[in-house]
Amino acid sequence: MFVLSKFSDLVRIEPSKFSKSTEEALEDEINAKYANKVVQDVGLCLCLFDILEVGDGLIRHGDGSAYINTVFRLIVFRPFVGEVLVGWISSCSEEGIRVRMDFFDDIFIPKENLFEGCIFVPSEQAWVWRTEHDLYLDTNEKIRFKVEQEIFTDQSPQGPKNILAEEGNNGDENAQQQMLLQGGSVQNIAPPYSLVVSCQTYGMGLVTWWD
Amino acid sequence: RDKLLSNYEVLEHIHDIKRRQKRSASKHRSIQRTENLETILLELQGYLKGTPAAKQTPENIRKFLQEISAYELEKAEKLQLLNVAPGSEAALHSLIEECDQRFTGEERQHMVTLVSQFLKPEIQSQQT
Repeated sequence: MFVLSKFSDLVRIEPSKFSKSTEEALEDEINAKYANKVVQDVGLCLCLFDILEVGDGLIRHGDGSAYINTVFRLIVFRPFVGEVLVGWISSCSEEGIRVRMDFFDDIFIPKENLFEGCIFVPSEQAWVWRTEHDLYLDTNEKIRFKVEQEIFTDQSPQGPKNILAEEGNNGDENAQQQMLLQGGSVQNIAPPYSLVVSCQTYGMGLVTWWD
Repeated sequence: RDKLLSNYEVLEHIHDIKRRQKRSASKHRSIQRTENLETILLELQGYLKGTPAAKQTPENIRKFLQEISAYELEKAEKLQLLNVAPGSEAALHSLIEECDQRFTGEERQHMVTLVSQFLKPEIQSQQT
């Protein structure tokens, strides 16, 4: 579920923080910059694990802060494909089920990845697994699932030329308003890091079914 | 680039950070800056407390790994056993590929026993 990733970055420390020891100041700056943020193709960064190398602090023209080249390791949340995780069902729709974990929300089970024999009941907005018993997948139930795919979406702002050409645009408000008017249930703002998971094999599904 | 961490190690690290924060509480820490960190640490702790990792100790983990090394398991599979602590053979199936072909029924049962011995998920009662 968690990995250690090595990062190399130029860290800026303001003069007001010079009273702190170098490691503390670096740690604070790095945590402030990376905690709870997604780095493309790496994962959701959680916190600093340790600092490997610290360069000399250099001071630029016109700016009193020290710039230090640092190599450090961060704890990153990045489940590997095929890993089994536990989360809570946050909502159900015809398309599938949204699952959340305490610190990560963008987990989705498309309807193809559910057990065979699962039916969506619109009146209750819930999925039911029809076997000998009727097993309901209710919200706020603990559910075990297997990671199938991870999707990283680039969130950098798009230039004006690209607005009309692309559909799923992140940055531009006009395009988003247009999509809303069309009344689609499409998600306009793609999250930077999302997981597509499945709930199909032995041991998957509500934790209470198997334990 | 990557080194896999078990849930237990992450939990340990969070405790470590909190301890260090308490020690240097006298020094002035700018509040806005650490907001991100506080949020993520709180959420992580809440999540990990509900997993088997909350009750594991280094000795238990070491002993478990020693015993389980008798079987041929991938590193990722051992890690999953640690994190998920399956309580039954069916759960083992989902964690270990081709469980039937690689291990006999007895060996699988033994693995489940080892898990409950060293990685006891006593938290079950608290969850319900």
